[in-house]
Amino acid sequence: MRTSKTIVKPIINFIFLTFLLVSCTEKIEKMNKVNEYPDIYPDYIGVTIPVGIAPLNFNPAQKSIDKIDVIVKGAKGGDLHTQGKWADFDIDEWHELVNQNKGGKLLFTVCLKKDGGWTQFKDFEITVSNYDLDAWGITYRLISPGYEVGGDIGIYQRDLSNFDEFPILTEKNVPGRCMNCHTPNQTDPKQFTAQIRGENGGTLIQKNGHAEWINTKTDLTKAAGSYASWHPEGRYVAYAANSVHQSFFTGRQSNLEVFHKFSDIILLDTDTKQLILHPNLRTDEALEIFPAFSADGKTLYYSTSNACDVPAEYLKVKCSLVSIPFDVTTGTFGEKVDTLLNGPADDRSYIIARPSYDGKWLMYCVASRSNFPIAQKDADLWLMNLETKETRPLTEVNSDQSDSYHNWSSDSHWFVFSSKREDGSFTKLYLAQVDENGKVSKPFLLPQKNPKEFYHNLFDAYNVPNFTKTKVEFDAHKAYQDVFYGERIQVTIK
Amino acid sequence: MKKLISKYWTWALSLLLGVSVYLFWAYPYKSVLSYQEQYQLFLFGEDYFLERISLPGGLADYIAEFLTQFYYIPVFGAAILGVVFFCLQRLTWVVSRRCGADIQWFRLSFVPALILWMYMGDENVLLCFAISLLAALEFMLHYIIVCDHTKGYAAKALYILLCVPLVYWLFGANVLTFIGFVAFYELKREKSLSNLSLTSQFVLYTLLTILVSSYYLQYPLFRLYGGINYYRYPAYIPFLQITTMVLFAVFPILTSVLPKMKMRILEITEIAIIAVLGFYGVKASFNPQKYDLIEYDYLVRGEQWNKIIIKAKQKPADTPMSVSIVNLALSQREELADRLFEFYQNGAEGLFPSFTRDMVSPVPTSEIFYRLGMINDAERYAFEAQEAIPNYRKSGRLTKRIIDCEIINGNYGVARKHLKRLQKSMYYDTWAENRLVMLKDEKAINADPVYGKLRAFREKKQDFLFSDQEMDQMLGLLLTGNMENKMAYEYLISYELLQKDLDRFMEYYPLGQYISYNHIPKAIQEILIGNWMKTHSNPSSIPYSVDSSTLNTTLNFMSLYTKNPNSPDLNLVPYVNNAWHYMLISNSGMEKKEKEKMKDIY
Repeated sequence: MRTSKTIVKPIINFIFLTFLLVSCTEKIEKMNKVNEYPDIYPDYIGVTIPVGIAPLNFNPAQKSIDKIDVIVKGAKGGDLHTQGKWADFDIDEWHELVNQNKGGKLLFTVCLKKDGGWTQFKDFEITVSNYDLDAWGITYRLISPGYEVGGDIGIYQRDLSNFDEFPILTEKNVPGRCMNCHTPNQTDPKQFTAQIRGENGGTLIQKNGHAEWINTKTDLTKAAGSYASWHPEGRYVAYAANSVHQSFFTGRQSNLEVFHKFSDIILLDTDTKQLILHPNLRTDEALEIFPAFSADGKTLYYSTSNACDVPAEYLKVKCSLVSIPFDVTTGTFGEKVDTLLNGPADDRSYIIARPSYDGKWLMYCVASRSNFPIAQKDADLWLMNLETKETRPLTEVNSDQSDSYHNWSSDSHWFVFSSKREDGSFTKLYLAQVDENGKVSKPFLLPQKNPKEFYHNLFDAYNVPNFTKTKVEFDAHKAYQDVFYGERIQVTIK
Repeated sequence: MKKLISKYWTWALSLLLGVSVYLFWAYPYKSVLSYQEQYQLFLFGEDYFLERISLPGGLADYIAEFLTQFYYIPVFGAAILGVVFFCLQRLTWVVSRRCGADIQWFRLSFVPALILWMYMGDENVLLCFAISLLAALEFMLHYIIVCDHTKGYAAKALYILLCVPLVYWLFGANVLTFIGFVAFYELKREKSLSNLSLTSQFVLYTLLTILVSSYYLQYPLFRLYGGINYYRYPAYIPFLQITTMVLFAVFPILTSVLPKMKMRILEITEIAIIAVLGFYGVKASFNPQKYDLIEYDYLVRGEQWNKIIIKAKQKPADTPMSVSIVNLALSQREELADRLFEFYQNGAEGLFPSFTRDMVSPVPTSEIFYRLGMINDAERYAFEAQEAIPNYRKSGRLTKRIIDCEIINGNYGVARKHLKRLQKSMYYDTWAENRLVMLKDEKAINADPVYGKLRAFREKKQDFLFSDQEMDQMLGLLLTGNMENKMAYEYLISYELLQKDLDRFMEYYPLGQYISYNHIPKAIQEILIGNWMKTHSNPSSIPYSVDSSTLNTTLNFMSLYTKNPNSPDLNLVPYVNNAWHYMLISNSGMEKKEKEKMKDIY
């Protein structure tokens, strides 16, 4: 249990503190200098960070390194020094230094000790952004990167100013029940939705601390909702009602293909518990999926692909990115569906549109096929300027493995995404900055106290990350009662 | 000697229990030890310890997992269980004695341990429960000592104040066993209102301690009160666990109120109770069908193919899992196409059981796929089995298989990650070290007899989606990709025969000429003879190289069947083992294997 571990671990650490206090920092008198960057994990060289982010601790990438010595100097003043098995910065001192250097640079001088001798490497810089990250932390689901059996799934939240992680809802609390991700309204956790699939399933809507469990399945809708998006005004939530399946490759190295047998988009009026259905969003000849409201709430973006005979025709699944107008005053959709990006014409699949909350950008995934990019190795992030409709791949952040599940910070100058770049299997979270011109910084891996040990020992994958303005308040014990014994409010069709 | 016996008879009886427990698990039920070991993975290291200790009952869980890893070698595991049961019985008696039980009732002190033994017939009961019971007994004993050596309420109240949270956090819900004993003990000692009030406060304090922990822990209350790590399935607390806890709590008090008397009839009654519980009770609580499957899986783990076949000969395997294991064993001895119909068959399910979301049945199926060269499928089944472990523990055996698959597929990064975890284990660390070295040397991987062979068997030319309805096509692709894959040929032919698809059988069986056979396998001969005789009258004109015994048996079978399809002789050896018996008489395989239902995923 992660919460209690965070309670117990400091106690253990405290016991060792005395030992650490009396141990001396080694003075480096002789050293070799080399004109190359140090080999560190994670690769934080040249990244851009926001004020308030947890210390960017890092380890020597090589196991054979005995010690690391790091001096950080701020261009606007201040410095930090740490020495040990890994670069482990004091949290308060780190924040002070980063604050002092907002809009400036931090210069890292790294020395590594190997076989009794020290080597000083070329200094590297980290930029402290002028853009604040208006978020207490991030939420995400942790799940074993497997197949059909979910294992120990849990939705967690992480304080971005330190390394504390807290469970929101885990499978331990609702044994045997599979949960979908927590989706707030933009980044405000006062309004969020989540789903429990299968037996005792239901859709959770929590507004201002009041939780309601809703059954969104009706005679007219074939499945409960998932892949949610809130209308910014907080009354409506769009879901994809679908059934998601997997098939498994026998043969070469790819191992699975995720596909949907059907998918429609439904809109829930959270005030009246009515579903709003529109023929363009629930066609027989196509699958409509991954809805996302624009910043002004006047447009709903989504992906659509021709209904194929999956899994046999899995190669033919190509999503287009489209939009439909929405009138919040009447709760109705317009009739005209605009195609922004035509998947079949481009022989690509455009999935998971995420408009920025300032209305300037649209970030989405591009893959060679499929409506489930996380399982596609070639999935990359792209950015569209919503004013000029210009698009470009985010080469600054993309890798040769799947990059997907992106979400914006409330001021739209930061985004978080998941990537399998390290090993092709265990998805990790990266954060990057976008400036007003759409220029994106080199992403940095979510900081950890001891990153190498943490990530090497983590056998879960991060899934559907999202920023959260404040800590999510959720009564998990009540959720247990609600899931197993609670009533479900049955939606009606408007 | 008599003096010696009268002095040490209680110890001798306790030892007898320990030895009985040892023998029970070291011999007939050693497969269960392997089963327990393979659904947990104890790791040395601070993180693992912290993960365990951060939950109520964490120390008991940690100790139990530490001990369970020794089940890898069954005699060690059996010895550990013998010692645990010995200690449980002795402590039960020591506590009872301190409560005032007469030596006459010593034999009854075996009852709680025997009830626990019966409860452990449920393979999902974890050793953690027994360890925490031991701790509860120890704290009971200390409570009596505190009471005996102090006056007034202060000392025992302080003891309870400190021990309740300690016992709860370190050993879990058996704090209720401890406090239950304390309550009964106090009620027996002093029936005053003040003592009743104090005892009630002790109980309330314990219940509140558990309740308070729920504010920090995301577990349903019933699990905190019933024990998080006592039982593998998290959805409920078994009734027998509660019974055992109650019994351990009240037993010392019950025996202490029994009168002191020395009657032969009482001794006989005590012995009878123990004998009934010890023999029939334990026997009845171990479900033979379940343990049959566990033993089959154990034999697969040890690649004991001969033993599997002998076991199936003694008692026919009749579930998809056990039948598939027998067929796997036959294939590993390269006898599948010869002896397929010597054993009960239940259609294609007996080759490839349908996938189920549990931790047991996918394990041997993964083994089948692995040996065939269907590496992705082998990994999937191993992974799913591991994820299906209800208490979310990992498995050394399954992790090893996942690593094997990752290495064969060339995913060294993921393999390395898993290997580093195994490095922290006791019995898998050497294997992990060797593999880590191997990862740096591609030639060594290719030269490895297993990895090299399976890399050659694995389909390399194309990607195709697994379909359990088209297993023959997948087997065909494997075989045409590498004609040395004899197992793929035998499974292909067996698949068509078990599906009773003779057209496809006739299409595929000629591929056998490219396989290293020194004879046409018996099952194939039988079908060829029968088919030939459908259109020809003279058996001597058969163009296949068939042996005379098979020819005669098949001809006799056909003759008997033609005369009377219901002839009882057809169900006797050798006719019952003839392929045509399966084709014409058996109901198995009448319906083609149904496609695995697509399931919703998260």
